[in-house]
Amino acid sequence: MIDANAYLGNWPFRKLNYSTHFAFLEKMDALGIEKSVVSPLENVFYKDQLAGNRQLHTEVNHHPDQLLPAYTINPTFPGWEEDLAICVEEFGMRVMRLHPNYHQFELDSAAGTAVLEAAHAHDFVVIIATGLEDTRHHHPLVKVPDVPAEQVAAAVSAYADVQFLVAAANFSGINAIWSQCAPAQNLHFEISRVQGPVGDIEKLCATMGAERVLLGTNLPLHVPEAATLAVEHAKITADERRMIVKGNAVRLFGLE
Amino acid sequence: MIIDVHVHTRLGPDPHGFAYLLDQAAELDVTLCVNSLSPKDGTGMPQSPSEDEIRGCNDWTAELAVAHPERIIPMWYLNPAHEDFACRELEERVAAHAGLQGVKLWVAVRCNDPRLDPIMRLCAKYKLPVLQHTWFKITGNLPGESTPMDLRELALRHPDVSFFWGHCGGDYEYGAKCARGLPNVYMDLGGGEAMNGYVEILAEHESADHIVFGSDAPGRSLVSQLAKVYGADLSDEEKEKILYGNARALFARQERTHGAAL
Repeated sequence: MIDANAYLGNWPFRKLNYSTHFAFLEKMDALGIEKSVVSPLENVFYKDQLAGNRQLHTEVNHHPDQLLPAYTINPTFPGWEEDLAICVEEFGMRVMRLHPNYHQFELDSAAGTAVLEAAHAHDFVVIIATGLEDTRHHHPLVKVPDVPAEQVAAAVSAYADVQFLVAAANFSGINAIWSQCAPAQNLHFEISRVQGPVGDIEKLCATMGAERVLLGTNLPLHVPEAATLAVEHAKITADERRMIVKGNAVRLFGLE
Repeated sequence: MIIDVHVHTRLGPDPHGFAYLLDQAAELDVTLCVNSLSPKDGTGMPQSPSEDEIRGCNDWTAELAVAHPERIIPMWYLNPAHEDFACRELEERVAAHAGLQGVKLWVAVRCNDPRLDPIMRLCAKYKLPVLQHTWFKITGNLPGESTPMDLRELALRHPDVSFFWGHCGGDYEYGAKCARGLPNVYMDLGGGEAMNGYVEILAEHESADHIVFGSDAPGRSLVSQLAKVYGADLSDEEKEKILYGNARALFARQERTHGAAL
């Protein structure tokens, strides 16, 4: 299995299991996950993304077979273009993660357009984290709405040559995005926060095709078994299951 | 075996959701404690249902319990704002149903309201566990929606009633602290996202003896909610209590009273 959406690191609001890379890798092994696409969780709140990206580069270098880095870019922070160049030239960046809501930019703003142009120029896979956890439970000082579906759909439509993965959207959020840009060939979703209704994975496969659906855990924020069990118990074909747990990620991220 | 204390019927855009759920429950050997928040022929889930709507909801629950006695335990839905009618409705349902059963309260009235007291006295008399919805939302609660703090008041006022603490308070960190030290409450895991550390926090404050499995299906999938238990850093014995043993022991009190069996 390949986990298309996970993080390494700590979260400011509560203690998490699997926040050290050792515990994270141990959990991957226990679940049978061969490779995880990971970003620094601290970068959700770090102003300087390069600091978190450097740390991620160091950690990934110790486990290159198991971890594929998705470096985070915040196009509202001074010098982001130079920092992105460092990620490309020194770290070999191939996957970009964006947090438009936590980093306070709209995807169709000047900053959003600039970072998507850069992604297009470098042929990055772009992960858009539309949310991280239930907005009803946010810290009272940090209430962050999910990224609006219409912004994601517009970006996917405007950059048809860029491959997008929407991360940590729930079932209704996924359907809201898909309904506004279907049948976009460059759009994929991971399932970490789907978690219902009953028959959720089957419905996603029927709506957009299993080739758009990827296993993702949102570790260490969520319990990874929520995603692995959802695929294991879904009433889908063996081919669809293989695509979701691995095949689609191999194709999207260009893995061997 | 597993007992799921928090399951709804469902109308609206997905009429097949419940049939799918029954199939999956059979596969996973799950007994479903079912409540209806919508009348079978209705279209919505009124926050403060009328007497007729309550009857319609419970008729549907009763119909399902009769059709699937091996799989379904009915949880009678009441609106405490109805006062006398709510008690009559409960007495009639208890008299008519031969098997295990419980009570469901949702968002019509905040649960620290004294209008719940006559209903609670009946629940104590018949040993009916009460599934009380709770949620603490930083985005704001509905007017009649109970917080974990409200349920603590009710549970202290009625120590002879056992409560399934709906959704663990939504924000389970609030719920875990509000339920601390209460011997008559059982944290219902259903409904919230499967967050890392969810069950471990509850076990730390309440112990595994006071946690029960709930899914909030069909709005949530059974397996995503089971993952909270399967993925938790607890012993197999603790997980068995949460999935089955704790709820089983509560319903066993009814078996001794009424002769009903699981």
